Amino acid sequence: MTARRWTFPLFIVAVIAVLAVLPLTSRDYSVEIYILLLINVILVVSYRIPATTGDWALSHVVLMGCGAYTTALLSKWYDLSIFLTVPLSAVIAGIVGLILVTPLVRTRGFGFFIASFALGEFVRLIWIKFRYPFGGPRGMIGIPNGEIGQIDFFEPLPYYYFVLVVALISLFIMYRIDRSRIGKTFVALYKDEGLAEAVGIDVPRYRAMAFTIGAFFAGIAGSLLAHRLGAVDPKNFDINVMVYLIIWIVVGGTATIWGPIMGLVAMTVVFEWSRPLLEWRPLLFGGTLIFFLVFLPGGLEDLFFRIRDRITGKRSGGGTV
Amino acid sequence: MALLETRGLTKRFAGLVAVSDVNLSIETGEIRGIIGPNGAGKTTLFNLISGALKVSSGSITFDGAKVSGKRPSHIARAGLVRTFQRNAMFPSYSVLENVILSRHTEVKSNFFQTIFGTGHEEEAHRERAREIIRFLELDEHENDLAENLSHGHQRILGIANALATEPKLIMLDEPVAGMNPTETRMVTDHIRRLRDEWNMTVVLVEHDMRTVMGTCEYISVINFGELLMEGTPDQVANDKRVIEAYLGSDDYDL
Repeated sequence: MTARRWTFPLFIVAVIAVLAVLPLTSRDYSVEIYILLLINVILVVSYRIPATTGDWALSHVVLMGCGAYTTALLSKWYDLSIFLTVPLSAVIAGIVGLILVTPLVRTRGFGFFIASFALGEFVRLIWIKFRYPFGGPRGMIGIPNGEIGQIDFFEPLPYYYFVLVVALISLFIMYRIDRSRIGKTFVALYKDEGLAEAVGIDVPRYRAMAFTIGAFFAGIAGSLLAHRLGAVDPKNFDINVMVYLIIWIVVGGTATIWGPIMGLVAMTVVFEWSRPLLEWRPLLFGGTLIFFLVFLPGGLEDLFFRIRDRITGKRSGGGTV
Repeated sequence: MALLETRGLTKRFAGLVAVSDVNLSIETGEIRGIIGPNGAGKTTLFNLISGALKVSSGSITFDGAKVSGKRPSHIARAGLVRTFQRNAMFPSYSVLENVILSRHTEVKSNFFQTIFGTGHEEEAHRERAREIIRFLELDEHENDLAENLSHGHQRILGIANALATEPKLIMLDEPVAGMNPTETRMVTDHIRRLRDEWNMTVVLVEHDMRTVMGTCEYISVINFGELLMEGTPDQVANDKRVIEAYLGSDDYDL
Protein backbone atom coordinates (compact mmCIF):
# COMPACT_ATOMS: atom_id res chain seq x y z
CA MET A 1 0.00 0.00 0.00
CA THR A 2 2.71 2.50 0.94
CA ALA A 3 4.68 1.50 -2.12
CA ARG A 4 1.70 2.27 -4.33
CA ARG A 5 1.09 5.55 -2.56
CA TRP A 6 4.55 6.72 -3.60
CA THR A 7 4.84 5.21 -7.07
CA PHE A 8 1.97 7.24 -8.49
CA PRO A 9 3.15 10.76 -7.49
CA LEU A 10 6.71 9.80 -8.50
CA PHE A 11 5.43 8.63 -11.85
CA ILE A 12 3.59 11.93 -12.37
CA VAL A 13 6.63 14.01 -11.39
CA ALA A 14 8.79 11.96 -13.76
CA VAL A 15 6.37 12.44 -16.65
CA ILE A 16 6.19 16.19 -16.07
CA ALA A 17 9.99 16.37 -15.86
CA VAL A 18 10.32 14.51 -19.16
CA LEU A 19 7.70 16.75 -20.77
CA ALA A 20 9.55 19.84 -19.53
CA VAL A 21 12.97 18.77 -20.77
CA LEU A 22 12.06 16.88 -23.95
CA PRO A 23 11.43 19.87 -26.28
CA LEU A 24 14.78 21.44 -25.34
CA THR A 25 16.55 18.57 -27.06
CA SER A 26 14.18 18.36 -30.03
CA ARG A 27 13.98 19.99 -33.43
CA ASP A 28 11.26 22.58 -34.09
CA TYR A 29 9.31 20.08 -36.16
CA SER A 30 9.16 17.65 -33.24
CA VAL A 31 8.09 20.43 -30.87
CA GLU A 32 5.20 21.22 -33.22
CA ILE A 33 4.15 17.58 -32.99
CA TYR A 34 4.38 17.65 -29.18
CA ILE A 35 2.16 20.74 -29.13
CA LEU A 36 -0.50 19.00 -31.24
CA LEU A 37 -0.12 15.92 -29.07
CA LEU A 38 -0.79 17.89 -25.88
CA ILE A 39 -3.81 19.59 -27.47
CA ASN A 40 -5.12 16.19 -28.53
CA VAL A 41 -4.58 14.83 -25.02
CA ILE A 42 -7.00 17.46 -23.71
CA LEU A 43 -9.42 16.61 -26.52
CA VAL A 44 -9.40 12.85 -26.10
CA VAL A 45 -9.60 12.94 -22.30
CA SER A 46 -12.52 15.37 -22.52
CA TYR A 47 -14.25 12.98 -24.94
CA ARG A 48 -14.03 10.22 -22.34
CA ILE A 49 -16.17 12.17 -19.82
CA PRO A 50 -19.53 11.79 -21.64
CA ALA A 51 -18.35 8.37 -22.85
CA THR A 52 -18.30 7.14 -19.23
CA THR A 53 -22.06 7.75 -19.06
CA GLY A 54 -22.45 5.62 -22.19
CA ASP A 55 -22.93 8.62 -24.49
CA TRP A 56 -20.69 8.23 -27.51
CA ALA A 57 -21.14 11.44 -29.45
CA LEU A 58 -20.10 12.28 -33.00
CA SER A 59 -20.19 15.99 -32.26
CA HIS A 60 -17.14 16.30 -30.06
CA VAL A 61 -14.71 17.73 -32.62
CA VAL A 62 -17.41 20.24 -33.61
CA LEU A 63 -17.43 21.43 -30.01
CA MET A 64 -13.68 21.73 -30.26
CA GLY A 65 -14.36 23.79 -33.37
CA CYS A 66 -16.64 26.06 -31.35
CA GLY A 67 -13.67 26.82 -29.14
CA ALA A 68 -11.43 27.39 -32.17
CA TYR A 69 -13.91 29.74 -33.90
CA THR A 70 -14.52 31.65 -30.67
CA THR A 71 -10.78 32.18 -30.33
CA ALA A 72 -10.51 33.22 -33.97
CA LEU A 73 -13.25 35.83 -33.59
CA LEU A 74 -12.14 37.14 -30.22
CA SER A 75 -8.46 37.45 -31.01
CA LYS A 76 -8.85 38.75 -34.57
CA TRP A 77 -11.57 41.30 -33.98
CA TYR A 78 -11.18 42.25 -30.37
CA ASP A 79 -7.48 41.49 -30.03
CA LEU A 80 -8.08 39.79 -26.70
CA SER A 81 -5.16 38.30 -24.80
CA ILE A 82 -4.62 34.54 -24.96
CA PHE A 83 -5.39 34.47 -21.23
CA LEU A 84 -8.92 35.53 -22.08
CA THR A 85 -9.48 33.72 -25.38
CA VAL A 86 -8.74 30.27 -23.95
CA PRO A 87 -11.19 30.38 -21.00
CA LEU A 88 -13.85 32.26 -22.99
CA SER A 89 -13.63 29.71 -25.81
CA ALA A 90 -14.10 26.96 -23.24
CA VAL A 91 -17.18 28.69 -21.84
CA ILE A 92 -18.71 29.22 -25.31
CA ALA A 93 -18.03 25.60 -26.28
CA GLY A 94 -19.60 24.53 -22.98
CA ILE A 95 -22.70 26.62 -23.69
CA VAL A 96 -23.01 25.20 -27.21
CA GLY A 97 -22.54 21.73 -25.71
CA LEU A 98 -25.34 22.37 -23.23
CA ILE A 99 -27.63 23.55 -26.05
CA LEU A 100 -26.84 20.46 -28.16
CA VAL A 101 -27.25 17.99 -25.31
CA THR A 102 -30.63 19.30 -24.19
CA PRO A 103 -32.47 17.48 -27.00
CA LEU A 104 -29.83 14.72 -27.14
CA VAL A 105 -30.50 13.37 -23.63
CA ARG A 106 -33.87 12.18 -24.91
CA THR A 107 -31.98 9.62 -26.99
CA ARG A 108 -29.72 6.76 -25.95
CA GLY A 109 -27.15 4.52 -27.60
CA PHE A 110 -27.30 4.42 -31.39
CA GLY A 111 -29.95 7.14 -31.50
CA PHE A 112 -27.66 9.42 -29.51
CA PHE A 113 -24.75 8.58 -31.80
CA ILE A 114 -26.63 9.56 -34.98
CA ALA A 115 -28.48 12.54 -33.49
CA SER A 116 -25.21 13.98 -32.20
CA PHE A 117 -23.77 13.68 -35.71
CA ALA A 118 -26.75 15.55 -37.16
CA LEU A 119 -26.55 18.36 -34.61
CA GLY A 120 -22.78 18.61 -35.02
CA GLU A 121 -23.13 18.92 -38.78
CA PHE A 122 -25.77 21.58 -38.23
CA VAL A 123 -23.27 23.68 -36.30
CA ARG A 124 -20.58 23.04 -38.91
CA LEU A 125 -22.93 24.08 -41.71
CA ILE A 126 -23.50 27.37 -39.93
CA TRP A 127 -19.76 28.06 -40.20
CA ILE A 128 -19.77 27.11 -43.88
CA LYS A 129 -22.94 29.02 -44.77
CA PHE A 130 -22.13 32.28 -43.03
CA ARG A 131 -19.18 33.89 -44.75
CA TYR A 132 -19.67 36.68 -42.25
CA PRO A 133 -18.39 36.27 -39.56
CA PHE A 134 -17.15 32.66 -39.90
CA GLY A 135 -15.39 32.94 -43.28
CA GLY A 136 -17.49 30.31 -45.05
CA PRO A 137 -16.00 27.11 -46.48
CA ARG A 138 -12.47 28.47 -46.41
CA GLY A 139 -12.59 29.33 -42.74
CA MET A 140 -10.58 32.13 -41.18
CA ILE A 141 -6.92 32.98 -41.36
CA GLY A 142 -4.61 35.45 -39.68
CA ILE A 143 -5.43 34.44 -36.11
CA PRO A 144 -2.74 35.84 -33.79
CA ASN A 145 -0.49 33.23 -32.20
CA GLY A 146 -0.79 35.03 -28.90
CA GLU A 147 1.90 36.36 -26.62
CA ILE A 148 2.76 36.95 -23.00
CA GLY A 149 4.57 40.26 -22.56
CA GLN A 150 7.65 40.04 -24.78
CA ILE A 151 7.34 36.31 -25.39
CA ASP A 152 5.88 35.63 -28.83
CA PHE A 153 4.02 32.34 -29.15
CA PHE A 154 4.89 32.18 -32.83
CA GLU A 155 8.02 30.38 -31.64
CA PRO A 156 7.15 26.74 -30.93
CA LEU A 157 9.11 26.40 -27.70
CA PRO A 158 7.37 29.08 -25.58
CA TYR A 159 4.00 28.00 -26.93
CA TYR A 160 4.82 24.41 -26.05
CA TYR A 161 5.29 25.39 -22.41
CA PHE A 162 2.11 27.42 -22.41
CA VAL A 163 0.13 24.45 -23.80
CA LEU A 164 1.85 22.14 -21.33
CA VAL A 165 0.67 24.25 -18.38
CA VAL A 166 -2.88 24.52 -19.74
CA ALA A 167 -2.96 20.78 -20.46
CA LEU A 168 -1.73 19.89 -16.97
CA ILE A 169 -4.34 22.12 -15.33
CA SER A 170 -7.09 20.70 -17.56
CA LEU A 171 -6.00 17.12 -16.93
CA PHE A 172 -5.80 17.74 -13.19
CA ILE A 173 -9.38 19.05 -13.12
CA MET A 174 -10.66 16.20 -15.30
CA TYR A 175 -8.80 13.71 -13.10
CA ARG A 176 -10.43 15.20 -10.00
CA ILE A 177 -13.86 15.00 -11.64
CA ASP A 178 -13.23 11.39 -12.57
CA ARG A 179 -12.21 10.44 -9.02
CA SER A 180 -14.96 12.43 -7.34
CA ARG A 181 -18.50 11.33 -6.54
CA ILE A 182 -19.59 13.06 -9.75
CA GLY A 183 -17.29 10.95 -11.93
CA LYS A 184 -18.39 7.78 -10.16
CA THR A 185 -22.02 8.80 -10.61
CA PHE A 186 -21.41 9.07 -14.38
CA VAL A 187 -20.14 5.48 -14.44
CA ALA A 188 -22.86 4.26 -12.07
CA LEU A 189 -25.72 5.63 -14.17
CA TYR A 190 -24.23 3.90 -17.20
CA LYS A 191 -23.99 0.57 -15.34
CA ASP A 192 -27.63 0.64 -14.20
CA GLU A 193 -29.79 3.52 -15.31
CA GLY A 194 -32.95 2.24 -13.61
CA LEU A 195 -31.25 1.82 -10.25
CA ALA A 196 -29.54 5.21 -10.60
CA GLU A 197 -32.91 6.92 -11.05
CA ALA A 198 -34.41 4.90 -8.21
CA VAL A 199 -31.79 6.13 -5.74
CA GLY A 200 -32.37 9.73 -6.75
CA ILE A 201 -29.78 10.34 -9.49
CA ASP A 202 -31.36 12.57 -12.13
CA VAL A 203 -29.96 10.65 -15.10
CA PRO A 204 -30.68 13.17 -17.91
CA ARG A 205 -29.26 15.98 -15.81
CA TYR A 206 -26.05 14.08 -15.11
CA ARG A 207 -25.66 13.04 -18.75
CA ALA A 208 -26.07 16.67 -19.75
CA MET A 209 -23.49 17.66 -17.15
CA ALA A 210 -20.95 15.13 -18.46
CA PHE A 211 -21.50 16.30 -22.04
CA THR A 212 -21.15 19.97 -21.07
CA ILE A 213 -17.94 19.37 -19.11
CA GLY A 214 -16.56 17.48 -22.11
CA ALA A 215 -17.52 20.36 -24.40
CA PHE A 216 -15.85 22.87 -22.07
CA PHE A 217 -12.47 21.10 -22.25
CA ALA A 218 -12.86 20.42 -25.97
CA GLY A 219 -13.23 24.19 -26.28
CA ILE A 220 -9.88 24.68 -24.56
CA ALA A 221 -8.27 22.26 -27.01
CA GLY A 222 -9.88 24.08 -29.93
CA SER A 223 -8.68 27.46 -28.70
CA LEU A 224 -5.09 26.24 -28.31
CA LEU A 225 -5.26 24.72 -31.81
CA ALA A 226 -6.56 27.93 -33.41
CA HIS A 227 -3.77 29.98 -31.87
CA ARG A 228 -1.17 27.49 -33.10
CA LEU A 229 -2.40 27.06 -36.66
CA GLY A 230 -3.30 30.72 -37.06
CA ALA A 231 -6.29 29.51 -39.05
CA VAL A 232 -9.56 27.63 -38.64
CA ASP A 233 -11.24 25.64 -41.34
CA PRO A 234 -14.57 23.81 -41.10
CA LYS A 235 -12.83 20.74 -42.52
CA ASN A 236 -10.64 20.60 -39.39
CA PHE A 237 -13.71 19.59 -37.44
CA ASP A 238 -15.49 17.18 -39.77
CA ILE A 239 -16.31 13.50 -39.43
CA ASN A 240 -12.84 12.38 -40.61
CA VAL A 241 -11.23 14.08 -37.64
CA MET A 242 -13.93 12.61 -35.41
CA VAL A 243 -13.01 9.13 -36.61
CA TYR A 244 -9.42 9.67 -35.46
CA LEU A 245 -10.72 10.67 -32.05
CA ILE A 246 -12.75 7.47 -31.87
CA ILE A 247 -9.76 5.38 -32.95
CA TRP A 248 -7.62 6.90 -30.19
CA ILE A 249 -10.16 6.18 -27.51
CA VAL A 250 -10.97 2.66 -28.76
CA VAL A 251 -7.27 1.78 -28.94
CA GLY A 252 -6.66 3.20 -25.47
CA GLY A 253 -9.81 2.24 -23.58
CA THR A 254 -12.18 4.29 -21.45
CA ALA A 255 -12.06 2.64 -18.03
CA THR A 256 -9.57 5.14 -16.62
CA ILE A 257 -8.31 8.57 -17.61
CA TRP A 258 -5.02 6.95 -18.76
CA GLY A 259 -6.62 4.83 -21.47
CA PRO A 260 -7.39 7.61 -23.96
CA ILE A 261 -3.92 9.11 -23.41
CA MET A 262 -2.27 5.74 -24.11
CA GLY A 263 -4.35 5.32 -27.25
CA LEU A 264 -3.53 8.82 -28.47
CA VAL A 265 0.21 8.49 -27.88
CA ALA A 266 0.36 5.04 -29.48
CA MET A 267 -1.59 6.11 -32.55
CA THR A 268 0.37 9.36 -32.92
CA VAL A 269 3.58 7.31 -33.02
CA VAL A 270 2.01 5.02 -35.64
CA PHE A 271 0.80 8.08 -37.54
CA GLU A 272 4.26 9.65 -37.66
CA TRP A 273 6.03 6.39 -38.57
CA SER A 274 3.58 5.74 -41.36
CA ARG A 275 4.31 9.04 -43.13
CA PRO A 276 6.04 7.26 -46.03
CA LEU A 277 2.98 5.02 -46.47
CA LEU A 278 0.59 7.91 -46.94
CA GLU A 279 -2.05 6.22 -49.08
CA TRP A 280 -2.04 3.11 -46.87
CA ARG A 281 -2.87 5.04 -43.73
CA PRO A 282 -6.68 4.65 -43.78
CA LEU A 283 -6.20 0.90 -44.21
CA LEU A 284 -3.67 0.78 -41.39
CA PHE A 285 -5.89 2.76 -39.03
CA GLY A 286 -9.03 0.86 -39.97
CA GLY A 287 -7.19 -2.40 -39.41
CA THR A 288 -5.98 -1.21 -36.01
CA LEU A 289 -9.50 -0.20 -35.02
CA ILE A 290 -10.92 -3.60 -35.96
CA PHE A 291 -8.04 -5.41 -34.28
CA PHE A 292 -8.70 -3.63 -30.99
CA LEU A 293 -12.47 -4.03 -31.16
CA VAL A 294 -12.11 -7.77 -31.72
CA PHE A 295 -9.06 -8.78 -29.68
CA LEU A 296 -8.63 -6.04 -27.07
CA PRO A 297 -12.01 -4.44 -26.39
CA GLY A 298 -10.64 -3.01 -23.12
CA GLY A 299 -7.93 -1.19 -25.05
CA LEU A 300 -4.26 -0.69 -24.26
CA GLU A 301 -4.97 0.28 -20.66
CA ASP A 302 -6.61 -3.08 -20.06
CA LEU A 303 -3.51 -4.80 -21.46
CA PHE A 304 -1.28 -2.55 -19.36
CA PHE A 305 -3.17 -3.21 -16.12
CA ARG A 306 -3.23 -6.94 -16.78
CA ILE A 307 0.53 -7.02 -17.34
CA ARG A 308 1.14 -4.85 -14.28
CA ASP A 309 -1.06 -7.06 -12.12
CA ARG A 310 0.72 -10.17 -13.33
CA ILE A 311 4.07 -8.63 -12.39
CA THR A 312 2.95 -7.35 -8.98
CA GLY A 313 0.84 -10.47 -8.38
CA LYS A 314 -2.30 -8.53 -7.65
CA ARG A 315 -5.74 -10.06 -8.08
CA SER A 316 -7.33 -7.25 -10.04
CA GLY A 317 -6.75 -3.60 -10.62
CA GLY A 318 -7.41 -0.70 -12.91
CA GLY A 319 -11.14 -0.69 -13.16
CA THR A 320 -13.16 2.44 -12.93
CA VAL A 321 -13.18 2.81 -9.17
CA MET B 1 -53.52 11.97 6.38
CA ALA B 2 -52.03 8.85 4.86
CA LEU B 3 -48.36 8.85 3.90
CA LEU B 4 -48.97 7.33 0.48
CA GLU B 5 -52.29 7.59 -1.27
CA THR B 6 -53.40 6.61 -4.76
CA ARG B 7 -56.72 7.80 -6.15
CA GLY B 8 -58.26 6.09 -9.17
CA LEU B 9 -54.86 4.94 -10.34
CA THR B 10 -55.11 3.49 -13.85
CA LYS B 11 -52.59 2.30 -16.41
CA ARG B 12 -53.51 1.31 -19.94
CA PHE B 13 -51.12 -0.35 -22.40
CA ALA B 14 -52.61 0.04 -25.89
CA GLY B 15 -56.02 -1.36 -25.02
CA LEU B 16 -54.95 -3.57 -22.12
CA VAL B 17 -55.84 -2.17 -18.72
CA ALA B 18 -53.00 -3.33 -16.46
CA VAL B 19 -54.04 -1.34 -13.41
CA SER B 20 -57.59 -0.14 -13.05
CA ASP B 21 -58.92 2.45 -10.63
CA VAL B 22 -56.81 1.43 -7.64
CA ASN B 23 -57.27 3.35 -4.40
CA LEU B 24 -54.61 2.64 -1.81
CA SER B 25 -53.98 4.41 1.44
CA ILE B 26 -50.86 3.56 3.42
CA GLU B 27 -50.27 5.07 6.85
CA THR B 28 -46.93 5.97 8.41
CA GLY B 29 -45.38 3.03 10.21
CA GLU B 30 -47.31 0.33 8.37
CA ILE B 31 -45.91 -2.83 6.85
CA ARG B 32 -48.29 -3.27 3.95
CA GLY B 33 -48.37 -6.31 1.73
CA ILE B 34 -49.55 -6.22 -1.85
CA ILE B 35 -50.33 -9.65 -3.23
CA GLY B 36 -52.04 -11.11 -6.22
CA PRO B 37 -51.69 -13.93 -8.73
CA ASN B 38 -49.17 -13.74 -11.56
CA GLY B 39 -49.91 -10.93 -13.96
CA ALA B 40 -52.30 -9.21 -11.56
CA GLY B 41 -50.53 -5.88 -12.07
CA LYS B 42 -48.50 -5.68 -8.86
CA THR B 43 -45.25 -4.70 -10.51
CA THR B 44 -47.02 -2.26 -12.83
CA LEU B 45 -48.55 -0.66 -9.77
CA PHE B 46 -45.05 -0.45 -8.29
CA ASN B 47 -43.62 1.13 -11.41
CA LEU B 48 -46.44 3.68 -11.44
CA ILE B 49 -45.90 4.71 -7.83
CA SER B 50 -42.10 4.94 -8.20
CA GLY B 51 -42.42 7.00 -11.40
CA ALA B 52 -40.83 4.43 -13.72
CA LEU B 53 -44.10 4.34 -15.69
CA LYS B 54 -46.40 7.25 -16.48
CA VAL B 55 -49.91 6.99 -15.07
CA SER B 56 -52.78 6.97 -17.58
CA SER B 57 -55.20 8.53 -15.11
CA GLY B 58 -55.58 9.01 -11.39
CA SER B 59 -53.16 10.52 -8.93
CA ILE B 60 -50.51 9.55 -6.39
CA THR B 61 -49.90 11.64 -3.31
CA PHE B 62 -46.90 11.11 -1.08
CA ASP B 63 -46.31 12.96 2.16
CA GLY B 64 -48.87 15.57 1.22
CA ALA B 65 -47.46 16.31 -2.24
CA LYS B 66 -48.57 15.05 -5.64
CA VAL B 67 -45.83 12.83 -7.10
CA SER B 68 -47.56 11.34 -10.15
CA GLY B 69 -45.91 12.59 -13.34
CA LYS B 70 -42.52 13.12 -11.70
CA ARG B 71 -39.27 11.35 -12.56
CA PRO B 72 -38.18 8.45 -10.29
CA SER B 73 -35.20 10.47 -9.08
CA HIS B 74 -37.49 13.29 -7.89
CA ILE B 75 -39.76 10.82 -6.13
CA ALA B 76 -36.75 9.23 -4.44
CA ARG B 77 -35.69 12.69 -3.30
CA ALA B 78 -39.14 13.15 -1.76
CA GLY B 79 -38.50 10.05 0.38
CA LEU B 80 -40.22 7.27 -1.55
CA VAL B 81 -37.78 4.67 -2.76
CA ARG B 82 -38.21 1.29 -4.41
CA THR B 83 -36.14 -1.86 -4.92
CA PHE B 84 -36.18 -4.07 -8.01
CA GLN B 85 -37.30 -7.60 -8.76
CA ARG B 86 -34.02 -8.11 -10.59
CA ASN B 87 -30.70 -7.91 -8.74
CA ALA B 88 -30.06 -4.23 -9.36
CA MET B 89 -26.65 -2.91 -8.31
CA PHE B 90 -23.70 -0.89 -9.54
CA PRO B 91 -21.28 -3.58 -10.74
CA SER B 92 -17.51 -3.02 -10.55
CA TYR B 93 -18.09 -1.09 -7.32
CA SER B 94 -17.78 -2.64 -3.87
CA VAL B 95 -20.74 -3.03 -1.52
CA LEU B 96 -19.63 0.01 0.47
CA GLU B 97 -19.17 2.10 -2.68
CA ASN B 98 -22.59 1.02 -3.92
CA VAL B 99 -24.23 2.32 -0.77
CA ILE B 100 -22.15 5.53 -0.74
CA LEU B 101 -23.09 6.21 -4.38
CA SER B 102 -26.73 5.64 -3.50
CA ARG B 103 -26.55 8.43 -0.94
CA HIS B 104 -26.85 10.83 -3.84
CA THR B 105 -29.97 12.56 -2.50
CA GLU B 106 -28.17 13.41 0.75
CA VAL B 107 -25.15 15.13 -0.84
CA LYS B 108 -24.94 18.81 0.06
CA SER B 109 -21.63 19.82 -1.59
CA ASN B 110 -21.72 21.85 -4.77
CA PHE B 111 -19.88 20.91 -7.97
CA PHE B 112 -16.55 22.53 -7.09
CA GLN B 113 -16.54 21.31 -3.50
CA THR B 114 -17.18 17.81 -4.80
CA ILE B 115 -14.40 17.67 -7.38
CA PHE B 116 -11.77 19.29 -5.18
CA GLY B 117 -12.83 17.36 -2.09
CA THR B 118 -13.40 20.42 0.07
CA GLY B 119 -16.96 19.50 1.01
CA HIS B 120 -15.86 17.46 4.07
CA GLU B 121 -18.95 15.30 3.98
CA GLU B 122 -17.71 12.11 2.30
CA GLU B 123 -16.53 10.76 5.65
CA ALA B 124 -20.03 11.20 7.11
CA HIS B 125 -21.55 9.40 4.10
CA ARG B 126 -19.07 6.56 4.52
CA GLU B 127 -19.98 6.24 8.21
CA ARG B 128 -23.70 6.20 7.50
CA ALA B 129 -23.23 3.70 4.66
CA ARG B 130 -21.35 1.41 7.07
CA GLU B 131 -24.19 1.73 9.56
CA ILE B 132 -26.73 0.65 6.93
CA ILE B 133 -24.52 -2.25 5.86
CA ARG B 134 -24.15 -3.38 9.48
CA PHE B 135 -27.91 -3.09 10.02
CA LEU B 136 -28.49 -5.50 7.13
CA GLU B 137 -25.63 -7.77 8.29
CA LEU B 138 -23.66 -7.32 5.10
CA ASP B 139 -20.58 -5.93 6.88
CA GLU B 140 -18.57 -9.08 6.19
CA HIS B 141 -18.87 -8.31 2.47
CA GLU B 142 -18.36 -4.56 2.69
CA ASN B 143 -15.33 -4.57 0.38
CA ASP B 144 -16.48 -7.29 -2.01
CA LEU B 145 -17.42 -6.28 -5.52
CA ALA B 146 -21.20 -6.23 -5.89
CA GLU B 147 -21.24 -8.67 -8.80
CA ASN B 148 -19.30 -11.26 -6.76
CA LEU B 149 -21.92 -11.50 -4.01
CA SER B 150 -24.26 -14.48 -3.71
CA HIS B 151 -27.81 -14.05 -5.01
CA GLY B 152 -29.20 -13.53 -1.52
CA HIS B 153 -26.62 -10.92 -0.63
CA GLN B 154 -27.18 -9.08 -3.89
CA ARG B 155 -30.88 -8.82 -3.04
CA ILE B 156 -29.99 -7.43 0.39
CA LEU B 157 -27.57 -4.98 -1.25
CA GLY B 158 -30.58 -3.77 -3.26
CA ILE B 159 -32.30 -2.93 0.03
CA ALA B 160 -29.12 -1.27 1.33
CA ASN B 161 -28.92 0.94 -1.75
CA ALA B 162 -32.55 1.94 -1.24
CA LEU B 163 -31.99 2.71 2.45
CA ALA B 164 -29.02 4.90 1.56
CA THR B 165 -31.43 7.53 0.24
CA GLU B 166 -32.87 7.92 3.79
CA PRO B 167 -36.44 7.19 2.67
CA LYS B 168 -39.65 7.64 4.63
CA LEU B 169 -41.23 4.77 2.73
CA ILE B 170 -39.51 1.84 1.09
CA MET B 171 -41.25 -0.33 -1.50
CA LEU B 172 -39.76 -3.82 -1.81
CA ASP B 173 -40.44 -5.73 -5.02
CA GLU B 174 -40.33 -9.45 -4.14
CA PRO B 175 -37.39 -9.09 -1.74
CA VAL B 176 -37.14 -12.81 -0.99
CA ALA B 177 -37.49 -14.09 -4.56
CA GLY B 178 -35.13 -17.00 -5.14
CA MET B 179 -33.93 -17.10 -1.52
CA ASN B 180 -33.58 -20.17 0.65
CA PRO B 181 -35.61 -20.38 3.91
CA THR B 182 -32.72 -19.13 6.10
CA GLU B 183 -32.13 -16.09 3.90
CA THR B 184 -35.86 -15.47 3.72
CA ARG B 185 -36.15 -15.44 7.49
CA MET B 186 -33.23 -13.05 7.69
CA VAL B 187 -34.80 -10.60 5.23
CA THR B 188 -38.24 -10.66 6.85
CA ASP B 189 -36.49 -10.04 10.14
CA HIS B 190 -34.72 -7.02 8.61
CA ILE B 191 -38.02 -5.71 7.29
CA ARG B 192 -39.60 -5.77 10.73
CA ARG B 193 -36.52 -4.14 12.29
CA LEU B 194 -36.66 -1.42 9.65
CA ARG B 195 -40.10 -0.46 10.89
CA ASP B 196 -39.52 -1.08 14.60
CA GLU B 197 -36.05 0.42 14.94
CA TRP B 198 -35.85 2.92 12.06
CA ASN B 199 -39.54 3.92 11.98
CA MET B 200 -39.81 3.20 8.29
CA THR B 201 -42.99 2.52 6.39
CA VAL B 202 -42.69 -0.59 4.25
CA VAL B 203 -44.70 -1.72 1.23
CA LEU B 204 -44.05 -5.27 0.21
CA VAL B 205 -44.97 -6.86 -3.09
CA GLU B 206 -44.47 -10.56 -2.71
CA HIS B 207 -45.27 -13.89 -4.23
CA ASP B 208 -44.24 -15.97 -1.28
CA MET B 209 -47.43 -16.23 0.80
CA ARG B 210 -45.74 -17.31 4.00
CA THR B 211 -43.53 -14.23 3.94
CA VAL B 212 -46.44 -11.89 3.38
CA MET B 213 -48.69 -13.51 5.96
CA GLY B 214 -45.93 -13.56 8.55
CA THR B 215 -44.62 -10.05 7.98
CA CYS B 216 -47.47 -7.75 7.04
CA GLU B 217 -50.21 -6.48 9.31
CA TYR B 218 -52.44 -5.40 6.50
CA ILE B 219 -52.70 -6.75 2.98
CA SER B 220 -54.11 -5.42 -0.28
CA VAL B 221 -55.04 -8.06 -2.82
CA ILE B 222 -54.84 -7.18 -6.51
CA ASN B 223 -56.45 -9.25 -9.24
CA PHE B 224 -56.77 -8.37 -12.93
CA GLY B 225 -55.42 -4.91 -12.17
CA GLU B 226 -58.16 -4.16 -9.67
CA LEU B 227 -58.12 -3.95 -5.91
CA LEU B 228 -59.95 -7.13 -4.92
CA MET B 229 -60.01 -6.63 -1.16
CA GLU B 230 -58.01 -5.39 1.80
CA GLY B 231 -57.68 -6.80 5.31
CA THR B 232 -55.55 -8.48 7.93
CA PRO B 233 -53.72 -11.68 6.95
CA ASP B 234 -56.45 -13.74 8.60
CA GLN B 235 -59.24 -11.97 6.75
CA VAL B 236 -57.37 -12.30 3.47
CA ALA B 237 -56.59 -15.99 3.95
CA ASN B 238 -60.24 -16.78 4.63
CA ASP B 239 -61.75 -14.58 1.94
CA LYS B 240 -63.66 -16.49 -0.70
CA ARG B 241 -62.73 -14.11 -3.50
CA VAL B 242 -59.05 -14.33 -2.71
CA ILE B 243 -59.05 -18.12 -2.61
CA GLU B 244 -60.92 -18.14 -5.88
CA ALA B 245 -58.46 -15.79 -7.51
CA TYR B 246 -55.54 -17.97 -6.43
CA LEU B 247 -57.29 -21.24 -7.32
CA GLY B 248 -57.36 -20.08 -10.90
CA SER B 249 -53.57 -20.02 -10.87
CA ASP B 250 -50.84 -22.38 -9.80
CA ASP B 251 -49.93 -20.12 -6.90
CA TYR B 252 -52.43 -21.71 -4.55
CA ASP B 253 -50.38 -21.84 -1.40
CA LEU B 254 -52.57 -20.31 1.28
